[in-house]
Amino acid sequence: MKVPDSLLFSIFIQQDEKLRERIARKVTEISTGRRIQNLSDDPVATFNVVSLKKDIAHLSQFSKNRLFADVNLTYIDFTLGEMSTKVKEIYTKVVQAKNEINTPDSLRSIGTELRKALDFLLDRANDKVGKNYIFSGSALTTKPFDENYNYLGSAEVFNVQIEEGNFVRVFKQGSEVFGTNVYQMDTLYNTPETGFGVSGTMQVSYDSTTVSVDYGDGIWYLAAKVTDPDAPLSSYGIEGDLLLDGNVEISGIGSFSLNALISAINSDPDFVAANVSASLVTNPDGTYTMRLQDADAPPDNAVSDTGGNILESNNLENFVRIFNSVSPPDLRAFVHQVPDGRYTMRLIPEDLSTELSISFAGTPLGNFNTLNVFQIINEVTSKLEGGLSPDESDLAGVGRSYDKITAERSETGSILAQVKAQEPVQENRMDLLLKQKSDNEDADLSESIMEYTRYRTAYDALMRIIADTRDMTILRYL
Amino acid sequence: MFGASFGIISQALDIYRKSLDIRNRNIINANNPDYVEEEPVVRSLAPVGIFFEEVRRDQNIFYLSLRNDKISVVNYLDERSGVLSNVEGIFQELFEGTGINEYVNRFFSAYQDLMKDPTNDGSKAELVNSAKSLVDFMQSKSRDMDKLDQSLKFNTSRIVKRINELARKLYTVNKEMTVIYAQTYARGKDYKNLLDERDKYLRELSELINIDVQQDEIGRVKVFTSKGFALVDFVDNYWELEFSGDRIYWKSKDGNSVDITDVLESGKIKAMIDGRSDLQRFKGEIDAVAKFLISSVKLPRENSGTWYLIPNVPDRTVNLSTFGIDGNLEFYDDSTSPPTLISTISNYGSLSLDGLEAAINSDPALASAGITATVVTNPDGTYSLRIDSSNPSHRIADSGNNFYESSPVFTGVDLATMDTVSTLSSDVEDLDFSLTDTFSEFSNNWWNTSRDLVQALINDISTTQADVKDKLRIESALLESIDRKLQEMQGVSIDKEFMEIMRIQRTYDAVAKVVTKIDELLVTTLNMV
Repeated sequence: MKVPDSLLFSIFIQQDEKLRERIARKVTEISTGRRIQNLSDDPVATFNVVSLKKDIAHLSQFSKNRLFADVNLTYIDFTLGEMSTKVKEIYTKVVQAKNEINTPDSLRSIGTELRKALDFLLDRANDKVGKNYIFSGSALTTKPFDENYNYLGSAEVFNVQIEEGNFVRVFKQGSEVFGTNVYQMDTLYNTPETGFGVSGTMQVSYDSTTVSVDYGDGIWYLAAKVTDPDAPLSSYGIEGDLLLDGNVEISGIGSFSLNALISAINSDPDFVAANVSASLVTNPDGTYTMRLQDADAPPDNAVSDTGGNILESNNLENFVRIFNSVSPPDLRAFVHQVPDGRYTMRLIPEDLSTELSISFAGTPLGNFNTLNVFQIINEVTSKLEGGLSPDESDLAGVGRSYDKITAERSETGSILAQVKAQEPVQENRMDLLLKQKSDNEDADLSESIMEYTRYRTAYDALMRIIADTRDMTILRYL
Repeated sequence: MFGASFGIISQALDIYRKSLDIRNRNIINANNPDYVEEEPVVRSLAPVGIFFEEVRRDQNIFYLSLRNDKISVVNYLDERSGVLSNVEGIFQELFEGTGINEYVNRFFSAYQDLMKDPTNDGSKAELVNSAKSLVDFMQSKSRDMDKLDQSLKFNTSRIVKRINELARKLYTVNKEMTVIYAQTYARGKDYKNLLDERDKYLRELSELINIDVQQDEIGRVKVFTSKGFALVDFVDNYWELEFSGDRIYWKSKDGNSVDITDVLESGKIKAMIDGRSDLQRFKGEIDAVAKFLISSVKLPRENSGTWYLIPNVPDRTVNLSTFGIDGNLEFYDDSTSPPTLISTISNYGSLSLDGLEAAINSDPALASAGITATVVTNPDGTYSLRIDSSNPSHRIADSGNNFYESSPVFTGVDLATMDTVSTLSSDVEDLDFSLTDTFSEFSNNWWNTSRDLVQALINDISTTQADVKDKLRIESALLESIDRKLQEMQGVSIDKEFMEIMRIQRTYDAVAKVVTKIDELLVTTLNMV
């Protein structure tokens, strides 16, 4: 075989180029630490790197969002903690004011103390982190509560996305956080005994329960719960005589069962003549009571008992007693005195989350509105400042305020725990993504160095071969 | 008595000297890849001496054509790879902070940052800046590709010019060959240096364009490219190419031009054509990113007076429910307490986009309230519906959660005209905080789609280049192999040439010695007189 000189050289040159290219490549790999320098070096790795960079950026953003949620929720948790402590102090003061014998001055003194505490609570509720009010929902730049404790923020929460499809509530509406299920009627009476002057039926619905109580002149209720309508009323502590227009009609009602008493009334000639009839009322909790009604229009008879158990449902005091005897124990009505000394009614469910639906048939007694924590505390504070003692509804209201803030803090804590739980998940995922990215784009240095050494050896060998080959020439013999 | 001998010896010395010249020529050209080893063919004319028959050229025209074909392919791939390498240089996706992917990521990170903390002035500024940077970056990449395209265009015209020069030179060589062949016909037909020149031109021409070559008995060539478009026809003619309006034309002698752009197969000229086509495709792909961003990315607004159907739809004439879009639209006037319901459009999913536009615009209550609807044709070919009201008290409630008061981040119809909306800085001051979580979720989809589009571009660049580089590696190896074979056949071995020279020298010495001996014989004979 003929081996032309140009062939020999071209082979050497080609091999030289290849080896030099490989050596240069390895040098770049070792010096930069990167396996792929160009997009086309490894399209699959390039695809993965571009994809991973996006995933890393996205995850990094979610981590920032999580951190934002963490910082804000931690602050909210702290703030609610401070507020609950303060409300607890207020509760203690209200108990003290209610239960102890206080002079008007000492009540006013407690009122002043409570006012400061209320200011503190309002400041906390109007607190913000950065430019964001923490209790204004999605109305981040709107101060949540005005000086009259009205909520001005958004009705919607402000969520932050901490993962694809996973949002956490960071800023909740102040109306929700500090809103209570203390329902207060807007009609005020000078005394609890002041007659309603209207008649109708009040219906209060919650969950699957409906409490229905009639009111108006000529309507009486046995203001007590009877579990067995055939058991003597004395077993429920109900004693006394039943009177019609001041005259004893039925003596010793304690010896009657509820059903027997109803029969006795309905068969009594005087009650019949007065057009007054009795009926058995089955309460929502399965207990029983008795309802009497004068069918005359207008009613012209008076029914009462010497034991004070049969009450006419035509004033606040009687109505509240009747309502509480009809209603299950998880809903209570209160006679509530407002700061100007007049009276109204409050309804407070036992359960913090129970929402009431209150409606009227006939002429309504008034409108019921829910109060927020600040309005509840403000009422009791104003009363104390005016020298009035707090009543049971005030205590229940403040107690409910404390429960509400504590519950909100607990909810915030659970969200915070959920947010914090994301931290190791996100960090692990980030480590994984970074490792995948590194696997795709970073050089294995030990392997690169070994390959570099191999190419160097090959290059040296090639040079030696070239020298040796050219040495084997006839020219040396000429 | 020695008359004939002197004549034979003189002729032999002349032939050996000529053979020596040919060997010298071989040695001188030993490292010329286009040179074909020549062999002096000396024939015996016993008993009347020797005859220099011809200079034989050890060439295999089949291998030469094969080699030239491969040169054409390798040059096509090499040149195209060079173009793609430049494109790779434009898109530095693998280095931190330099790729389009990074700019897209930065923009959407800023977007989500703002949705997370919409009152943060830093987040607002970052969104505006990152949006502008993204636009600038993409436009700068597009401009870089335009510059590269211009340089390819210039190269194409240079290549066409060089092809024309080579065709003319080959035509000239063909003509010279005819003359020299005739002149040297009786003296060994020593015109082979013209064949080397011819081969050199053919080789260079192959680098530029794919050619087929036909050779006649004395080595003149007819050269044509794809589909038989001739460049050189032996000694009769040659044809030129023309580069005009981004197309390559073959100019016939009757003055007509034929567009051969799409039939060319290889060579640098094909690399220029395909390289420019690659660039156009890449530009289209980056344009698709821009068009998507313009068409989709919007900010939740509180007082823009403009509501958009956020999911874009591909067909304006098909019922919206086909795309999973349905709900009731209620139009309110919030200036009264309670708000006044102006009008309701129920189950808009049963309407097409055009139908919904007509329903809104033909509603007398909405018309009198100044509420209008317009179908928006997006740059990416999708459609949306924009509802406008100049009354800030108007509000639209959509039970289907498809329409949102919002405004776009980008404007324009393509990458060239793309910009951030002029009011972006003030728009970010008017965000609807209650919708930031919803738009944060939307942005995940926008981000994913943008990533997919960017990835399609990067993928296209990387796989095209990898494919070309792979082919180049394989074709280069094949070319090396063919070249070696050809070198073996036609290359010069200096060692062999020196041995031949030594042989000729010894023969020459011997023949020269005969002259001396004859002379001595003559002297002896003369002394005898």
